[in-house]
Amino acid sequence: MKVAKWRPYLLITPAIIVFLVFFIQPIFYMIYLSFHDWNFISPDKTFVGLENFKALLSDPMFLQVIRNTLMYTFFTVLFSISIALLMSIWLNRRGWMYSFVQGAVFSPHIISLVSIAMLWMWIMDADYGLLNWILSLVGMDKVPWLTDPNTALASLIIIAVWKNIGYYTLIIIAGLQSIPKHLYEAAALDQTSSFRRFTKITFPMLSPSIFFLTIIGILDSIKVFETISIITKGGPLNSTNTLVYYIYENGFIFFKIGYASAAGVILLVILSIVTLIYFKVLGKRVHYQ
Amino acid sequence: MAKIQLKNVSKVYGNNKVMDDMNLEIQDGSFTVLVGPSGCGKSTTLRLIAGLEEVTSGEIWIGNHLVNEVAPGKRGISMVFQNYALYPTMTVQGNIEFGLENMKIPKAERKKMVDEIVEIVDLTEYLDKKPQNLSGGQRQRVALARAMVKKPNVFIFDEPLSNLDAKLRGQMRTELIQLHKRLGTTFIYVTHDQVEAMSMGDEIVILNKGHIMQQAAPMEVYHNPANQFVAQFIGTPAMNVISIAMLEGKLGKIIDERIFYIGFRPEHVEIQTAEETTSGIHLPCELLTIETLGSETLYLVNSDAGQFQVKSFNNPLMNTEKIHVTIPFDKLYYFDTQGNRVYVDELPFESMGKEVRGEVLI
Repeated sequence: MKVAKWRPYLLITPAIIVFLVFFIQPIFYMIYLSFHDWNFISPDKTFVGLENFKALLSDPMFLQVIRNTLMYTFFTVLFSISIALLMSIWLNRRGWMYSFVQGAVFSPHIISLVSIAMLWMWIMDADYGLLNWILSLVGMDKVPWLTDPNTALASLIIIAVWKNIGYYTLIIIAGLQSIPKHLYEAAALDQTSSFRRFTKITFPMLSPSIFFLTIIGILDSIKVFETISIITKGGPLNSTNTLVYYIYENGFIFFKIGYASAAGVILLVILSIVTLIYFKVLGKRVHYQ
Repeated sequence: MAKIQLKNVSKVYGNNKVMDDMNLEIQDGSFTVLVGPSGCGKSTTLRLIAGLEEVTSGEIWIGNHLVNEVAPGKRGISMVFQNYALYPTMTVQGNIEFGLENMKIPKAERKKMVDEIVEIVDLTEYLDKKPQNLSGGQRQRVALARAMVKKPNVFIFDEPLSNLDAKLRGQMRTELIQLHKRLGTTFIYVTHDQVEAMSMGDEIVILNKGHIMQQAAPMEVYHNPANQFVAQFIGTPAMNVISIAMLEGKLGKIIDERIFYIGFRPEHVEIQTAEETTSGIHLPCELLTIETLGSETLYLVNSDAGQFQVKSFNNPLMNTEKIHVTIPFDKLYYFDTQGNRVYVDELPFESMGKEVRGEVLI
């Protein structure tokens, strides 16, 4: 059967239109706005060149926001993956108890972030929260989890890790189960110590899963918004203000659209770099069978 | 050096008894082949010896040591797996060296040992490649090198050639035989392929349903099978086995009451070209199929005694429908109802002589 040359293009046209209108156009519009001064309402958009970027980079608050975002991302990804790795090794066996625990740690993943935020606001409440009540039982001082600039970001990291590990554990267990058993048998015949068995066989064989989790972990953490918006609103003293919340705050609370767009462009650049690394490294340093 | 002994070994998985009270002795320096249909317990035997599985009861001795409680790596055994089990994240060199590193052998010495081995298996130029970039035969060599470099007392092979194509398999077969001659260590080799077993082993252990059917040299197993299972498992095509009820009345009564089956190999059946009388069972047959294999020809024939196969090294009989065959008396095997071999001193038939009874000449 002969198919007209234009037919495939016709068939993908609807998808392409949706993609252009809702994905590509906003990106270009954002870049356009980042060179302008606009308050969202007035019909005039004043062209200001690179002024927004200059202002951003000399704004100490923006630098703190970047620092917060990087700290949040680094520790969230580090703890999520390390804890998930330990849990997977523990849970990767048969028995109803292991299946139960596996299901239990996965459950936060299916709860909406808003509910999670509400739940943890109660758990971490300084006066009536579950955590401080437990601490008081063992005779320890109360911790002002979310209200102290020194602990607020760490508290948000705990929440993110709590939400992540279920999904991360699932992915790593799947990775563990795909490692052929005979490799461990060969290792046993090679007199491999359990430490070397982990570092030389298990971990390298898990590298695709761990690399995948690192990348999606970084992308997710850089884009963190819901928990911050609901729990801390970037405070106290901007200690939890991260990039996406900062963009939202400038754009939709202070109506500095040009300024927010410039921050958006910086976010876009960061995310593009991470994605680029993902595709570059894929298939090179990571072992795939 | 190491002789291997299994004493009253049983292995149970859940409710499934795969090996029942097995006694097996593998001589030091032998090339012993464990052969049998799938599920016969041959791989289990191997894994028990290697220590990858624990015995349910019984003892395993390697040399003078009871090894039931000894870790796999400490038994002086190297194993070549069916799917090679190479470490995919390591290079060829890394794979071969891994066991040596674990044994904390110094780097310089390690390098010497690896170089020596890769020379033998012809892998020198592939040292930095990863296993997934090698062909099946090359992977096989890496697995072999990894096993050899540890200088074990016993080599264990779990169907190592089954993933190779026919030509390469033949080549590796001769290489393994040469390797055994050169190293002089004990080889234990598992296969389900009786041709491999016959051609490689100097001792064959035939297993069925977790029991040893026979343990002997290849030609002994062929010429003197202990039971119907071995008779039909070894040899291509399998031995023809006919119930005596099919022959009764034609042969005259069989006097030995133990005998229930009569067996004969397809290659021992003679096709009569003239009406001559040699000492044997004469049967007129109808030709059903002909398979020409070049050097030999296989016939499936139908007679009053049932269907059986005939193998001939003469030119194929094309356009022929009926033939006469003779099965020589001295090539007959007798089995009882259980399929165990019945050894007889003289022919167990009531009347002998060159007379015609029915259509059968005796």
